Amino acid sequence: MPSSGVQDTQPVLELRGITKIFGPVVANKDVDFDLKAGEIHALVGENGAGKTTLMRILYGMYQPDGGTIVMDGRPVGFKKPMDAINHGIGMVHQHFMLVPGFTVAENVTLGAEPRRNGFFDHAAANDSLVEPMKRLGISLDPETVTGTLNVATQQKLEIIKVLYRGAKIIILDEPTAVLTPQETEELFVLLKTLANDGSSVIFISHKLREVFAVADRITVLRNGQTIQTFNAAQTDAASVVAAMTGRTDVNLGRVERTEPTDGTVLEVKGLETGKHGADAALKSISFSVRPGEVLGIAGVEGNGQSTLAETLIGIQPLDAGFIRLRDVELGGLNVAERRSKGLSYVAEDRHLEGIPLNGTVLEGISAGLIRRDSSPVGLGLAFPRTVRHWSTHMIKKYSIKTSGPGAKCSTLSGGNQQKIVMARELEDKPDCIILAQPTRGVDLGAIEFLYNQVAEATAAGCAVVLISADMDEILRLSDRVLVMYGGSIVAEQQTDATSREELGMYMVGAQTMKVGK
Amino acid sequence: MSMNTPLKTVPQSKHSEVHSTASFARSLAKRIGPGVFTLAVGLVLAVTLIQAQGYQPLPTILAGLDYAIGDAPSIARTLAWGLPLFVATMGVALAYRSGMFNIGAEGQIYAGAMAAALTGAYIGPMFTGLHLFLCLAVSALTGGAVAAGLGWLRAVWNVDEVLSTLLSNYIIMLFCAYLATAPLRDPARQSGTTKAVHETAMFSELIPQTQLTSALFVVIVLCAATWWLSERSVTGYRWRMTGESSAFAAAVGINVRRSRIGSMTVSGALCGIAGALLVTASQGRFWTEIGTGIGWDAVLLAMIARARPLSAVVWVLVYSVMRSAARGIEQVSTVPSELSLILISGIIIAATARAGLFSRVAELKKILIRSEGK
Ligand SMILES: Nc1ncnc2c1ncn2[C@@H]1O[C@H](COP(=O)(O)OP(=O)(O)OP(=O)(O)O)[C@@H](O)[C@H]1O
Ligand SMILES: [Mg+2]
Repeated sequence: MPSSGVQDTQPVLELRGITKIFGPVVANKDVDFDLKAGEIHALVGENGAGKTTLMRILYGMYQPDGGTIVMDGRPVGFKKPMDAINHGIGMVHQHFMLVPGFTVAENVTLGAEPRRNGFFDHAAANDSLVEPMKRLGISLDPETVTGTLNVATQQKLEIIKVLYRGAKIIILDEPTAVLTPQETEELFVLLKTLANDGSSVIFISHKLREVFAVADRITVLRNGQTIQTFNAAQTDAASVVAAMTGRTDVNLGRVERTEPTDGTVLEVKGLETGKHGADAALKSISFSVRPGEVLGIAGVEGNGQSTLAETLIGIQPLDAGFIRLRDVELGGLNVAERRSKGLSYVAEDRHLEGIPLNGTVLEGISAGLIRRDSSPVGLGLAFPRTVRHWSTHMIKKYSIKTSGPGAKCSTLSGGNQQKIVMARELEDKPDCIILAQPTRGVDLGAIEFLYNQVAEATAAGCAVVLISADMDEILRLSDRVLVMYGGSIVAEQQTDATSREELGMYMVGAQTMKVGK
Repeated sequence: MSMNTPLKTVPQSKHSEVHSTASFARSLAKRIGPGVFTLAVGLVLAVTLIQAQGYQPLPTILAGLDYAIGDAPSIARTLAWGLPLFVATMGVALAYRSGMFNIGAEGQIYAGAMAAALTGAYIGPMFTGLHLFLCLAVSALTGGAVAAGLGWLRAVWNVDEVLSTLLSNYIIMLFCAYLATAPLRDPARQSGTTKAVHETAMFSELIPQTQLTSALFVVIVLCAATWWLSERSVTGYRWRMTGESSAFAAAVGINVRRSRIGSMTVSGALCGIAGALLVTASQGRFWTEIGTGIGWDAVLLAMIARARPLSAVVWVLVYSVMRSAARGIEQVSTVPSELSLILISGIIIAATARAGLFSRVAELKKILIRSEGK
């Protein structure tokens, strides 16, 4: 249930008629938004609706082209984030801004370090953490090196940092995109604690389940404009979806798919790998995927799913076992060779592996076409007219919101960046596709569209390995689910014969079943 | 004034559709802005330095410019000096684009110069075209082999190319100096030079008394080819993506190792050819000081141009004029010709500060290393 610390008083913050224009794109158009003391206010809308832009304006990162920010009845102007911080506004970015080599205390106080005789005052820094941690009801050792903390804890650290700087208004841009369901729950408890204390929270998410679990009010943006502000208790998901998309027929449930057919497209047996980075090593992984089947792989992140994806596509070496795609052994092949045998891959970290962030949309989306150029020296034109036309067509087909194929990938909103990746990989017409977190940060209308594209691919016989931390995604799209824990498969279920709760038990290792033949 | 004009055409890859004249003007301003800014910084620096020496800045600068580009022979002289630098800068830029910091340009230039001098002196005489082609080809192979080795160390063993290329400079230059002073020394000369190359291994002068030779055409072709390779071709795409994000490149099936080694090889080959031009279009033989630091200039110019071939060409032009003007200023005043070096360093710092182009602290370190290397 939503927290109920809201006072029916003057708003602490009002955005009036905010407009922001980027070249040809109007990101915010006359947007109104207000925030009361002690409320959690969700900001929702499709990809590119202008949520992040609005919050960056509020945080002083962008200057508005029109409109005013009013705090406690007085108009204010923020030239830089420091101005916003001085007015008690804090923002937790989707990409954390922590220094991995610093300790918790150093990171929290960074930029506003307590000093004694001109030197960093360790004791004071450690002490200054006590108060915000007490408010949040969490405890962390101030001397821990930040890089060793997991993502969820780092996020809490960001919140502590914001509180340390005296924030009364806390902005969280898609904070749950990187969290497991359990971690999300913990975050919500924390946010409610803050709200009950009289702070205000602005919360951005694409998952309505979360929005309704935590928000007091919900403001919907569409195409850069405010559509409506709802009282969460007096509305339902359908109305919010309708306001977001302008449609009433958005499917939020199971995706309609054709039945898988007999045979085997992908067969994996006895896969073993070493440990790479933070993820678990694979221990004797075996499974197979039929033509037209979607095999979901659920699990709390860090239990080997990333290693599995990267081993399948060939970025990481395998120590033992084999991977067969339609009787072709892939084990000894490199990424390009595996791809030309019919394997396709949507990487989980889109900024790192999915797109060239500083490259153009054209460069990102046409990588698959260019890979097919097999001339030994490759002196031919990379982007002939046909490729350019194709990319323009793809931008339309996948409704990627951008000024054109020449736009830099980094100027696209998160969800639209993801559509580039999905378009590139699905249009490769693969026999088998590995989808790792395919719709992270994607809005629900676009998710429906992407799922339909996946369904279309499976109808044509494509086998899909769907690795996702999002339980809804697994339940909506897959035929069969495997659960990974500690680098092994601990459970196998038909999707229609299982539940969120049951999978959750396997995911945390509370239960295992005998799997594999 | 004349310094500003070339910048109007700083062309960068522009795929984006332009929507209105207003936004066109804005994007144009955005593109030219940094160049104008850095040049303005350079100008202010020059004025201050000349003033500090007790001369009137404007007349002095104008006299210098007159020396550099006052009439056709001056322009030809200025251009002639710049020819090897164009090729070397293109080479270094090409490696940057794939994320390889080839600061071994100077050494590769020496290697190329030595290779050309030997091919020119010990093989032939023969038909000029063939002899020149042979000289350039052997130089390209030599420079390419050196850089390929260094690229291989990085790609396979992950040996930091900044260190390895830097060190390779000293090894190669010392080795060449050894060759030129001991086994391959021209006995007719006292100092460390090799035998003069045959006449057939020399480019012919286009304009008498200016040293501007038909090597100009070779340079134009090489610049155009490098631009195509880097910005338009399939291979260039693979190299650029590798430099942009090697994780992305690996995930879409680009062979990252091959890109790194390949771009380093071509980069080294271009530097080798630059060295060959020092011999075959100017000096006629190898001597121990033949490079005069153009490899380091190339490293810096490629950096200012952000590794874009077209802006690299523009910057080499600007730099050649600056160098030449500084020499002219030296003749009419006591301002030392090192002025151009101070200017270019100032410009680099301005450019770096302005766009925050190089987040890696390492890059700044390299600037320091460079001034020590001088
Ligand atoms: N720096 C920028 N330069 C150019 N265009 C931009 C820039 N930042 C945002 N845009 C454009 O403004 C629009 C709004 O983007 P914004 O990031 O605010 O969307 P969003 O609602 O946060 O979307 P998402 O849910 O995908 O994160 C998009 O069309 C985007 O391409
Ligand atoms: Mg956003």
